[in-house]
Amino acid sequence: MSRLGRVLLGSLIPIVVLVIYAFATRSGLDPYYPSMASISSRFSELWLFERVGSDVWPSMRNLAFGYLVAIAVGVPVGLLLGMVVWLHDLLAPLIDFARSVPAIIFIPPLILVLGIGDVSKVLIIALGAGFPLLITTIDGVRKTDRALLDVARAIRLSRRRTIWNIVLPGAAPSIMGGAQTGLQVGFFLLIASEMVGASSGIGYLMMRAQASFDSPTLWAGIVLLSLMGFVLNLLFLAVRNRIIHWHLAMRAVSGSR
Amino acid sequence: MNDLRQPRLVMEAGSKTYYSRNASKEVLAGIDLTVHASEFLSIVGPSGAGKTTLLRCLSGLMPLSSGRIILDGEVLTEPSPVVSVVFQEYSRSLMPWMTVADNVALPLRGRKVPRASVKARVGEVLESVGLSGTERQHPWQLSGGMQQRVAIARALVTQPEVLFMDEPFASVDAQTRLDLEDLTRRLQQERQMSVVLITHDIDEAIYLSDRVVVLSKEPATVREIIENDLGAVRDQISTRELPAFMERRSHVLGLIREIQHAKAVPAELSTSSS
Amino acid sequence: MSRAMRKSILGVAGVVLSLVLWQYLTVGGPLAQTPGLPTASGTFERAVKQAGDPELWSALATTLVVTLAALLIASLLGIGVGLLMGYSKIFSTALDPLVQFLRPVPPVALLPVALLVMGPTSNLAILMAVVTAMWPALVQTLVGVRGVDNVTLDAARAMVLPPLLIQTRIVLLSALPHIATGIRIAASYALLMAIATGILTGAPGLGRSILFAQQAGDSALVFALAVYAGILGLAISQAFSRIEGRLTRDYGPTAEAAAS
Repeated sequence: MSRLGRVLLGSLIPIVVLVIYAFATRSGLDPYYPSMASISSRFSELWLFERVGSDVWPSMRNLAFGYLVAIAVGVPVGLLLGMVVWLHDLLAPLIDFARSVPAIIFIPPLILVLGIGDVSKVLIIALGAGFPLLITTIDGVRKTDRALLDVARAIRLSRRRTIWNIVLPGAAPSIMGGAQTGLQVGFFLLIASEMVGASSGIGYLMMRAQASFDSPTLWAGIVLLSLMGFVLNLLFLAVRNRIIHWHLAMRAVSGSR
Repeated sequence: MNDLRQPRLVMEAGSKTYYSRNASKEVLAGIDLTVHASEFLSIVGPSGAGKTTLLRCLSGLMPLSSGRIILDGEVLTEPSPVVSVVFQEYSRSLMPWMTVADNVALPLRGRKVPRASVKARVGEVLESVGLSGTERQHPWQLSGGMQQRVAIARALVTQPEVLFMDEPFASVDAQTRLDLEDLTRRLQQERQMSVVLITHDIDEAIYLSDRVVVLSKEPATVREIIENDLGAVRDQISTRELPAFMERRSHVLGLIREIQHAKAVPAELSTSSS
Repeated sequence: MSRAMRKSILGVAGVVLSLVLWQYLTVGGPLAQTPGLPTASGTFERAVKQAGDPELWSALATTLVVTLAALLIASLLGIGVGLLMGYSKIFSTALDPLVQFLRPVPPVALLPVALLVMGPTSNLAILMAVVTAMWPALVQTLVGVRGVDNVTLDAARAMVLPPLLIQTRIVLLSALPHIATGIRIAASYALLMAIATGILTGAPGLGRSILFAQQAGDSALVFALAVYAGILGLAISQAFSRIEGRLTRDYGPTAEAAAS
């Protein structure tokens, strides 16, 4: 199939869906499904760029802080637990429990203790994103090839350099898996925490619009969140591909996995 | 001739026993072994004889259960800066996230070698193993033989006086194997280092070595040490046609068959009874 | 002492230590009298008391039913579309861009609209759980079908097996461990959304109980219910890991590949 054919075929379903939606809502009278014109005009009213400073930027800042805290805590602690067997055994049941807990559960207690401010949101995101990072770091470190550790000892590499040059890069592909899941969980928790308790943010605005039957705002919010999720993922992939380019290239060379 | 030999690395009554929860297995039993300066020494033995354990103990990677190892007059308890090791599985012993140059430079990290001289030394060893120009590639972009050359370059970059090699050519094709054998012998001659080669290939051991150590198995002891003076310069065709070569080959093969046969009988009995 | 015994003793010690630490911090320590933060013993008492309350059990049952119903639908959808995309080049070309775009979109974005249309009902919870849980089922199925070992396929072709038999017996069976992984992840996503919908909208189930406790400011109850949610999560993930482990053992290529 030619490149053009693939592009056409690939865009067929989205176009058909959009055309059907546009046709079905052309009267603009349905309370739940507004016309595309009213969604796009609401989108540009709200998000280009009137509410960006008040409701998008602070949310993104919380997500960024929470995610950075998750990385800054999850990866070093994961390294430690991956290498110190007794410490891992001591905490294993607690970690197993925490990883099975649906992440949304972090929201109500933290809001009760810390209120609905930025601190509780950053902490909620950090917790939700931190566990996947912690677990994949432990996994990656524990799977370090014994042969490479032998090499490290034979060439008398210091402990610090062994961790930095051998253990961490070897665990990086695994950690990147956790980082991707963690980002998705963090984004979800950001929106969810704004829906539960907040006085600003996209999630808050959407829940308020829901309460007042303002469906164009809801659909404009869906469009915005979809674009944000897509862009966040693209950014993540760009960073990931830089960090573990060797792994991806090696996999492409060996042809499998 | 004997007077010129300087003992470099000595194992005295080296024994190693592995313990698990309810069993113990003696792998090395009272091994006395001397590695001389600038000699090429091969260690052969039937599979499962504990060759790799012996190498791990000799190189300081693993402590002995009893006995000791003396390097240049001092007791060795951990890997020494004047010793290098080439491991068996080249694909697992190189860091896939590093370029060839970074892999080779790794042992110099933390040795306070200036950056410029690191670069020069990496270039020099890569040239001596025939890999100039691959600096910026990653190991997995190279063939198996070339990867093993990278591993050899990494071992040489610290200018070791003793080089251990654990079945280094086991997983490359036959032609590459011959090339790597000649490379190893040439490097040993050029750098006047001691090489201790673990191999299960008797021809390879006799072709390359100045002395061949034959191990018996379960537990490993030194069965015989064969002086193997086939001259300083070896050639894949003419050396292997020498009467002395063929005579020693038959001798070692016979020894190994004897060792395996002696152990085979009780092993068969135990499997049929279980 | 054996390794396994040491591990379990240390594990129990870890749990006990963390509970003692929680109790110390909230009773005499720096976090005493923090509003909204119950003590360990208070939470434990509340959890025990709640166990006698039939409402807790009906909330747990509702959440479990919603989760399993959503998991069933999401698995059928995800595996179905995954198989179509895995087998047919036309379907995969037609759907790939859509999947690439929609996968990173947080399903919770749909929640306000769905709430507007459906109200805070169990069906809303099921819908939200389905749109979240179908992705891992789909993606893992695709990985499984596309990742069938070429040597195995060549061997099957060399034996001149009928194509249908190759597809069902070889491709599907060797994709099975991946599909099981997809269902395990889908199950935890479904539970997450089942509870999240309750917390965010008041749809029935454990989530709603937590929402009400939070609104009443009853922090001991919020923590106690969170513990129950954790136990439910642990039970579901253990159950599906076991199924996955079994299928991986029976149909996986090697133990090592399964571990990675």
